[in-house]
Amino acid sequence: MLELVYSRRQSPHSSPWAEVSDRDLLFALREDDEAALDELIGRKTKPLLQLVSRILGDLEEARDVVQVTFFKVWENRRKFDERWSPNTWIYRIASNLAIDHLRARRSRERSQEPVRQHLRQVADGRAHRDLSRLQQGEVAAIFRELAASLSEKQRMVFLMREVEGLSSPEVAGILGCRESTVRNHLFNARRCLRGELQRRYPEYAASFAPAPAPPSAAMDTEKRT
Amino acid sequence: MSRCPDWRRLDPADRDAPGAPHAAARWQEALRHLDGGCPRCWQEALAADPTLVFRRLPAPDLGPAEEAEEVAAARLAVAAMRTASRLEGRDAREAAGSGTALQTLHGLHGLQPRRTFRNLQPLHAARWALAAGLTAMALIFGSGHGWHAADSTGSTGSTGSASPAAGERLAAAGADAAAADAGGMMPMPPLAPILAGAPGRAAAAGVLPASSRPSIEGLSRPEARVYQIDSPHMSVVMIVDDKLDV
Repeated sequence: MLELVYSRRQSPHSSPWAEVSDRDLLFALREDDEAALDELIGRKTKPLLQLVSRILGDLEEARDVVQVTFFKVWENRRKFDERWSPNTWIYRIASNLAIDHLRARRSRERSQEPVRQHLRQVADGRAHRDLSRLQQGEVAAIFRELAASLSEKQRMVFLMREVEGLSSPEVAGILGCRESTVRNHLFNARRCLRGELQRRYPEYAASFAPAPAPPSAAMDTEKRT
Repeated sequence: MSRCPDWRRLDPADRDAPGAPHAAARWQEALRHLDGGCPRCWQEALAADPTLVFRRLPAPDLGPAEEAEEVAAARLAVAAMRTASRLEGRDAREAAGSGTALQTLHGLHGLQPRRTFRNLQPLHAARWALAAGLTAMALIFGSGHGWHAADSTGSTGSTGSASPAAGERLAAAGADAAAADAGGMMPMPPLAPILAGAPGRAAAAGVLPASSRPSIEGLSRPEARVYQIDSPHMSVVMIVDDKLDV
């Protein structure tokens, strides 16, 4: 005889984990719950992709790193400590993988230095010719070029603080260092980037301006201010 | 929107200085104003600190459809990685127990499943190129014992429809290449790539008796194609398994 013990009406698109906090998802992961992993992937793919693609400057590579991040989260699920912030733990795994990736890329690039030198000269010439037309997409290319002179930690700190808007304590938690170290990395990263920017693109700050706002919008702004 | 700050009075060195809380607070306020989209401050702000340009570093613009696609790809990739990791662990245990040639064959599987389904095609091509190269090498250096099925315990022979044809094409290409290299001086045996567990093909190949063949222990991959060439001094075994091609 069959007996219906439990039944719950559920929409085919809603996940049973939709209302659960990140922390509880990680607790469920510790119990080998694969549905919790799926939910975590659904929640964190976009923010991780945004962070990692900015760090690496390449969406395809970022996609690989993010996927491996989730795999590492699963592999290390029993090591999650409830005292940690879930975001900090996941971002820490992702940032460590991104640093590894950057190091491997640097090693590859060193072996291709002559070719890269030539390409850089070509790109520099083009950039200087079109300096007044720099668009948002080109900012990424310039950052990638200039950030090569930063250490991996400096790059991570700069991006997390300056671009992602994370606080110093959060960054310190993710990178596993003290806040004072974060501030030092940030200070040095800014100084280095500023110097490189002015050296390689002297007209950059003067020429890079947003498209002029339409007259009506400008007037509205005037009124508001 | 708040009033435009006087960017000329803001020193970039004060932005995060612990000893200058007032200056840091002024910076925070100015940056909030800038991030609010003030069209007039941008140039002055960049003049104060050129690195502010990187606040507008673009991130991938993922709409709901793209995000769903990325999530699906990530789920698929993570599932593949977990499967591969499980298989790798199991095979490692089995190989450690039996000490067979499987240990050396792991290199062929490439168990670093970091690719999404979008990137599978180049990997397939690379695998087949590797397989063709091994085939040609074995034919050149072998002594003509020919192909025969490996003794793969547990194989059921349920393969995809394209696989046998692909295997035959590979073998034919290997034979042509070997014949060309040998200048027609070395007699080539008839080639018959055998699907593991396909008895009809095995019989057609004129294989050695099972008792005289080296066996691969612990292989339990029903859809794997196994190729083996024997010579008096060397045996070459290839296992091609699409499930591991991630």
